[in-house]
Amino acid sequence: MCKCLMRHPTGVSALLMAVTLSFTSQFLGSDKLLASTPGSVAGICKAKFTLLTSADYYDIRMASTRRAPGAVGYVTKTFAQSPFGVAVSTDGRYIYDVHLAVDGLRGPANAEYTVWVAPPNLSPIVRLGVLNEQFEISGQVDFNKFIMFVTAEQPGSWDPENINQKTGNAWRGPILMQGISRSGMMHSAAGHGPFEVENC
Amino acid sequence: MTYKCNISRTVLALAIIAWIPSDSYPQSPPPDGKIEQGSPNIELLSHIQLGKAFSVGDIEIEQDINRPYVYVSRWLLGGFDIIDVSKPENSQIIYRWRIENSELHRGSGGTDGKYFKLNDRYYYVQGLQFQQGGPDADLGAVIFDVTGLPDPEKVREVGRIRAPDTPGGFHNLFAYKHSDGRVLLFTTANGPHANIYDIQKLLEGDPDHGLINRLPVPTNPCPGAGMSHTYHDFYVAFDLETGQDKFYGASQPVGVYVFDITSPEQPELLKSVACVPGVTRDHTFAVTPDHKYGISEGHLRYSPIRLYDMDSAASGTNMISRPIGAWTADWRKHAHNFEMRWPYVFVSNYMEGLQVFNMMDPENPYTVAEFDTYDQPDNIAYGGGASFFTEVSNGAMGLDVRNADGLIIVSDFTTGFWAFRMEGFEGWNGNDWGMPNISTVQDWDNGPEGVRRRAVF
Repeated sequence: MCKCLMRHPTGVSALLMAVTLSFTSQFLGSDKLLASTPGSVAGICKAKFTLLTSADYYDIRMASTRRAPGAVGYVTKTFAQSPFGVAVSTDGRYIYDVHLAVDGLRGPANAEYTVWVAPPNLSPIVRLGVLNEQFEISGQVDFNKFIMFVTAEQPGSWDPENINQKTGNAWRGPILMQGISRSGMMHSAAGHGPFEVENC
Repeated sequence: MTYKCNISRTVLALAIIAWIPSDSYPQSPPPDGKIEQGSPNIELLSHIQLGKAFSVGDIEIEQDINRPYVYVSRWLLGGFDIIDVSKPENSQIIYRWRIENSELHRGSGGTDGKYFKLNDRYYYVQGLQFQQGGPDADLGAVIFDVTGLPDPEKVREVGRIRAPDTPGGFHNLFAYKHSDGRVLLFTTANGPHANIYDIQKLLEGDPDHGLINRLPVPTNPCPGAGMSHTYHDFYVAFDLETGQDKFYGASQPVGVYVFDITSPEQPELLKSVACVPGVTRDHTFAVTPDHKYGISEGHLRYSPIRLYDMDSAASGTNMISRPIGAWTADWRKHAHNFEMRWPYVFVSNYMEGLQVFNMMDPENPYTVAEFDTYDQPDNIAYGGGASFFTEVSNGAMGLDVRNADGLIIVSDFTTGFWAFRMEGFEGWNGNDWGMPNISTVQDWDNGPEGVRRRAVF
């Protein structure tokens, strides 16, 4: 649905389309108009062209760095299932299921596109894993605010010993994509000076 | 008959076409309508394009002519470049520094930087602004020992200043050689104060980064003006007549406050520039070398640079609320930063590029030179033009002047680094103009001029 309807709209038309669909869906009592079909292509399409439903609001759009021009990625983020209702980690943080789908990465053939997750201060760093052949990965995250990013590693370059090192990075390859959890956009009022939204 | 007439008309038409001056043909002038890029008294020495738009921040030049180094803050990229201007006609980038994992950082990045000298070593401090949600939101500045330039291998980081209680970093800095001999660093903060750091303490590893005081933003004296909550920029200088070190802080939303900081640990509010009709924001402020006249930039579209008589406080108050003069390069836009070299004021005037005006008569300032560094469309402003109705922010962002020889350098948001000379301006020393030799330039070895004189006599 998403793929067919919203392949190449302009920014304005996409906005109008999404607003119209969102408005219509309220009367129809359905979210299906904006729901995506399973799979990475639909996810990427959604990342590029649609406004979001309430559930999608918490998803993450991955932005490419200058080392990966044209790459797009989208993370769906949902609460992990639990027989007790809400899944939490042993220290009381919510556990999220995350699914990342990427398109447009054109690195060396033997590159391992490795996905990392860390809170804003980059400590601790969790290695979520390597993108599969469909350029997707699923996993769990239990940070409140976090950054997800993709690096291009050489096979065998990752040393688990580095993961908790204070000096240096756990990764060695260039950062290709990054995204921030919606919760990461919540700022302390103390830091909201005028210069963060104004220019100079 | 008809045939002859047609031939005559054709010949006449061709003659007219041939006679029309070539510049009468339809043309596509640049967006601002200007063909000439600069006034004849400005000589362009070099220009380095520095990358994508809005990746260039403020600019600083070392004043020792034997250390020909320029520091360009890299907005968004979170770092700075060092440019060697030993041959200004052939300026070269010799060093680049970026915050580690810059791709994961959010916010403005490298906004402003200043150099200073302490104990015979040279340092550069880069102000940084990173937003929460990414790394280093508490990082305000990084200090580098640059004594070993031009060898880039000898540039080394020697300290970081963090301010975790006011995340968002430092937007502007001012390095000052105080009359008591200390080298102080004034920084903005995302809080109702300016931070004052004793650099010696900082470099010695003081756990508070050498923080010796926080200079408060006073309550705005104008009823209904709201509360000024941060400083945006400042100028600090020694007043030879009063023997005071003075701080001039432009606060936001509005209000300029003048403090006696002869004792930085016990500052005293002297006066304010506030309740000025039409001024809704205070951005940058400076005074003449004798502290008699002030100039202010409000960073508001259609708003000129205003000039104030600093002794014109209304009777019974210490508040100055009426300018005595104004200057603008283009009334449809607005200026940004400036450097006072009395009687000249060098302005990085955004879309009008480098501008220089003379304020010898502060009631009648006039333009003396210009060079348009920004020949791009006028409707592309920082933030995607969202603020275009109130601000016109693109083009010449920062500038500096080397007093030793009058070299003028400009950083442009979009077009990068520029170096100029102005005809007849071969350096600046206030004494040559009958003024104290006081400007943003510091005498790192001897301190303010008046203090040195006192010591001599």
